[in-house]
Amino acid sequence: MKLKYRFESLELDDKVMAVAMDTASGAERIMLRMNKTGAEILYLLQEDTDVEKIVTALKQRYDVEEDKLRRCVADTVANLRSSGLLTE
Amino acid sequence: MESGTYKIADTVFALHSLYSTVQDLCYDYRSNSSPEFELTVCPADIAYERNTAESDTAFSDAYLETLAVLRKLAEALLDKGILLFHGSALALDGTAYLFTAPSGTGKSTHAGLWREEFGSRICMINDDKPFVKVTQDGAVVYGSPWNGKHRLSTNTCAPLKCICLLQRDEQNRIEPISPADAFPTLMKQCHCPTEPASTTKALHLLGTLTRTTAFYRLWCNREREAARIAWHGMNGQGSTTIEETLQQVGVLVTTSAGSSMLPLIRSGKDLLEIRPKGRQELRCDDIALFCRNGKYVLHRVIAVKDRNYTFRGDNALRAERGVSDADVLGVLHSIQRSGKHIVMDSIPVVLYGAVWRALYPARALYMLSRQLYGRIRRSIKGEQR
Repeated sequence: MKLKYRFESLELDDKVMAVAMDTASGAERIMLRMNKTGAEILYLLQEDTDVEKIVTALKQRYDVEEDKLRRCVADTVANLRSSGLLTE
Repeated sequence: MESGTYKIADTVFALHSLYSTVQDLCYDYRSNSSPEFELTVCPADIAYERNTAESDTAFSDAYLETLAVLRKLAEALLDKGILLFHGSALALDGTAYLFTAPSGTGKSTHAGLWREEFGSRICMINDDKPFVKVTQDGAVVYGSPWNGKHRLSTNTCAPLKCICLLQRDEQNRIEPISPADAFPTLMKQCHCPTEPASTTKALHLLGTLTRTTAFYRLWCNREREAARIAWHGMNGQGSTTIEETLQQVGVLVTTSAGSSMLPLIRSGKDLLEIRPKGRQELRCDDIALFCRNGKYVLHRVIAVKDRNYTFRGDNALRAERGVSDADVLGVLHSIQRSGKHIVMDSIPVVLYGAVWRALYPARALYMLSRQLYGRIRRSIKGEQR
């Protein structure tokens, strides 16, 4: 799976705003608001990948229980999928 | 082909158009300086505007050309750190405020309320499409010829104090918001081309803008009070005194300092809307602002006798007795907390006040016990040293 669009992100305080490129302008533009972990997951989804690969990549960076990390990745992926932003 | 040279947003450019309408529109912005770049409109630009027009109205080519020039200019100015916004920008005493929101929210109406309220102190920079130059040191708002249906604009500029996101409501209130909260509206209300490189530029300019500018959300109706509350919310108390503000503006929007009214009022966090007291006598449980020995205090009325009041903070032990009617400046009307508007005369708040006051003996006992415990601990520590 991978993202349908390329996203450009901007850090604002403790949040990250991600804006889809190559989509409609103005009101139709796709924008996501997420925390920094969510933004990393989004970054990893720019290339074709799967949940296991993302968990492995994040595990190297964060000292977090694997189960917790997997749940976080699965939730983010599920949200992106339900918004129609992933291609399988 | 019609041609002219213009200076918009501090940038000189030559414009070559198919019709004279756009040249006439830009007349007030004509310049004798050497252009930094050239804008040339071709029939394909007009066709593009016709295809992307949101309305079914059959616009003339000359009109569509004015839109094409605005789009091309906005895209060219991105390279110079300048964003085109959809909003109403005005300057009050030389400082700019930008109101933005989706079409139909009432940006122009709100700007009109500022003109009614502040009269000749207001200069309309642009009522529809101002340009904002973004730098690390702050932003500057510029007028443009594309000035909305009321044709309100001036070929001028002013440093931007803040951007206010408007939302219609029956009651007026304002609160500061974070850049992350402001961002989605900003992104939608600024001209951001679909071409990725331009989107990236706009995104980074917005990022810089959020670091140098304050953002507010204003819920407003069409009354003049909306302008007063907006101004006050975006300016704190300014250089005027609390008494002057209440008298002249009719409302004081501020935060409090101290813990004496916890848990109802959180120091520095909750935005308090205080209104003048008026002639009526205060009632028990009213929360009022009074001045004593040069100090401003916002506490709850716990006793009333012949227009003399006894006050006490919800989290305080001591009462302030003998406060006269003349000492009272205003009454707390509402609290804004995390986006919620808590009105003081709502039933839950009135009940809360009555219960809190009734529980005072128990709270006093608890607070005294804590004080005593603290003293004993300190004295034991002192002896050990």
